Amino acid sequence: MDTILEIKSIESGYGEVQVLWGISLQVKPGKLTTIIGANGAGKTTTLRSVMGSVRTWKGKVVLNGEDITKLPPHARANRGLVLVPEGRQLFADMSVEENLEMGAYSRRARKGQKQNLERVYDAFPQLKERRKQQSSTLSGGEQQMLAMGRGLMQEPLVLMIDELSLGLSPLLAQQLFLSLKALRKQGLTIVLVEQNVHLALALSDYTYVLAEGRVEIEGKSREVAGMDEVRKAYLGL
Amino acid sequence: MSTLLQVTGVSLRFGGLLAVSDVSFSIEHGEILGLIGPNGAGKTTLFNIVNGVYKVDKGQILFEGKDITNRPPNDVVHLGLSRTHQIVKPLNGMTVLENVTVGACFGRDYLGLHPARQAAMEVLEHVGLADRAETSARSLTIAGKKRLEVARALAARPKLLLLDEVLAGLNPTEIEQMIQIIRGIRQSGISVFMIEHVMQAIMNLSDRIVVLSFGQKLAEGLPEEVSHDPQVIEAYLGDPDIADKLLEDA
Amino acid sequence: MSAQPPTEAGAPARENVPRASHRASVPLASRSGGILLHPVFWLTLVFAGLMIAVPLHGNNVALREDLILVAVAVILASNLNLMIGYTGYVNFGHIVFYGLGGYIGLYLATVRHWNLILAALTAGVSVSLLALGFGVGILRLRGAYFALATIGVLVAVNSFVANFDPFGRSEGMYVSFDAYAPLGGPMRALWITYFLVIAVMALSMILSLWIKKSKFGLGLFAIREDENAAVVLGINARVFKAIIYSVSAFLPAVAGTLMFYKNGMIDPSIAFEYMLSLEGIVMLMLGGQGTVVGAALGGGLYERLRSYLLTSPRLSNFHLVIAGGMLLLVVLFAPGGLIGWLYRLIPRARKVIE
Repeated sequence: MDTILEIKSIESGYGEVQVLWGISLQVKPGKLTTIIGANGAGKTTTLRSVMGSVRTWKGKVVLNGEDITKLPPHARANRGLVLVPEGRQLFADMSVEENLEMGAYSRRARKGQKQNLERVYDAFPQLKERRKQQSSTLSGGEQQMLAMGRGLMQEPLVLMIDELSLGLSPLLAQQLFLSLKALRKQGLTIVLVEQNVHLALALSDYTYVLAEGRVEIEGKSREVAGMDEVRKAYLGL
Repeated sequence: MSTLLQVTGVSLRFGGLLAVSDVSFSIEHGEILGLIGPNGAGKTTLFNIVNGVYKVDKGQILFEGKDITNRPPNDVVHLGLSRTHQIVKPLNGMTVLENVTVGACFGRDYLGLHPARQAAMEVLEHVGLADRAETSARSLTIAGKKRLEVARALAARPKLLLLDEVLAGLNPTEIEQMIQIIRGIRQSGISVFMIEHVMQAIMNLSDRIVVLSFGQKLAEGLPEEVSHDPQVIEAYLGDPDIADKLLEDA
Repeated sequence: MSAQPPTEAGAPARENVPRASHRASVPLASRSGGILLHPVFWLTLVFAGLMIAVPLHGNNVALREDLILVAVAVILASNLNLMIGYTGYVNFGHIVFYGLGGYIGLYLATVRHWNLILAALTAGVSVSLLALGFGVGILRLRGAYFALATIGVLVAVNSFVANFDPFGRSEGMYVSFDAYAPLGGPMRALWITYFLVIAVMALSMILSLWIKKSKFGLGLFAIREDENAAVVLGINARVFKAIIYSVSAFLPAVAGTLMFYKNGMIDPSIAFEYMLSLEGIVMLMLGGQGTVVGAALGGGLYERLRSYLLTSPRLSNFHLVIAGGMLLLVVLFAPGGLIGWLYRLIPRARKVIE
């Protein structure tokens, strides 16, 4: 299969305000694709539209060859599309382990729950140490780890992450990125929205640069990294 | 060109957070000054300080030589300083004309109802809302509401107009139209101080740019200079060194 | 992120086509010209004229007694309208102006033997000044907190008066018959006070009209729509609010003097009738807050309904239930009241009926 997730000319927004003016992306399986762009460019809206939490006004979302544009978010999750949202949205009063178990709530993920839990604990030993701890008492970086872990518990085909390094110390950001690298090596398809352009370009295989609700630049990350157009997409001139 | 607005050493703390820290800049007569910076940089806070919505802990603001530091917003309007809001505030129960009439009544000239209504109609012509003068403000589209907000501020006959993300939420055609309106405003002799995230627009419109990041002034200068300034680039694109460390360990 | 708040997705934005207006709010009529030319001005004079002429013509005392209650309702609703309908601040304790005005005026007229009109005007001015004082304090509060504070003012004044010796403490004051002598005896006095109350009613409506059409009124409506925006547009909201709160106290205080003088007595429980304070709001909402005609209509209709209910053997206990029910219905389904409904039916009416 060439493309595992495809987004065709999506237009959407909030209420009266249109944010996306025709976004098209092709995500290849087993690769790490990143979406970058200035604030307000539509990165989070794009992920939300793919997930279905924001209704698409025009365009299509195709997962594994199936048109999922009309499906509600939980149905998309059941088909393996997982979003780790900006701001994490953990269950604050639940423990680490309970949060992870909630990740395996869907029918799809319930079967492999035990195995996946072990895998997540292997990838993130800090979570194993704190398995009974209330999630709201974790540090920022640990919470981000937990959010990712919960995403992994859903047995994703495609894991979408909205902002990984935001608010994290360089050390923690490093650690998370390394685990992301390892996951990619294991064959997981990852779509990453990232604030730090250099990190995004260094880590990913393919890059989309958004500006004002449109794709300004796309290409292999190595090539895009050298382009002045990236700077221009952020700074306008 | 003489100085219209002089901001010196302005600082404001919200609880533990230093929202704006020792910021200084000036705006000359007849110029468009653009204010950019990553989200949370303190741009709207700075606007709120200049027009008196927030009081500063430290610093001074001079408007045409007069000290307006910490003066309430309704006062500075009478001196010639108007503003629009990021999230527009139409007076919903009133018509478009009534909205702008309010601006004209309580602006720099303190016009009576009649002359204010006439002045309001003129402003509506300028911004292209004259045909909707009698519609209620709440029934306008977002583009209309943004224009109304600008018209209402203009009706006060300001010398300096503060525009807070006036292009946000507009489609490309509407952005073009609004840019024309802003150019027209400058041509009529009004200075403009604008916050914008639509970078191409603000870089092309502004005579000079001030960049704010984490409450501090990062850079100031011509758009061409600022957009190539390494510190500004880092503020927007992130720390390049993190990536290097990561690749080393790979 | 900038301006777009993440709410649930809605309909797409299309071209610059304005959508149809939503439910009736209260816009200002854009008619220019002084109020002397305004239909509502003449309507007021005719209304007042009829209320004087009809009972006088037949020496119909029963009708006069009914109509004076209607007039008081209109006075209360109209002046309350200045706070609620024009400025957007809900005054739950407005009856305090009426009651305190009654006390001060009655004291001056009967204990000090002042001329009635002078006493009434002095009561009006005193209560207005007190309101200004209170207002400067409580108008810093917004929304529900302001409303609660107005009840606080009512309770405080009520308690003060009930313990104040010169005002007769909880017993109140009685008007002896000789107090009516300067007006030519009780019979004549009743008629004269009636005319004066009608005059105050007409003044209330004309004052409402005048303010609504003025620049000051425009400022008040702007405050009601969005106080923060109003301030940024150059309106000194603090001063405007204090002024209108004070102004809204004047005529009710004058009316208070006249009414309690006519009734011959005053005590804390009848001066500060909490229910009447609440009913003032019902009247205003029912008729159409923000409009001159609405306040009058609501006052008049509700007063008639109230009188009917209170004298009906079966329904008198349900009077407040019905009042509460009406308030609920109006607020939920027709916040513009009767006049708001009229505006929706006949949009042209907006320009004529203020």
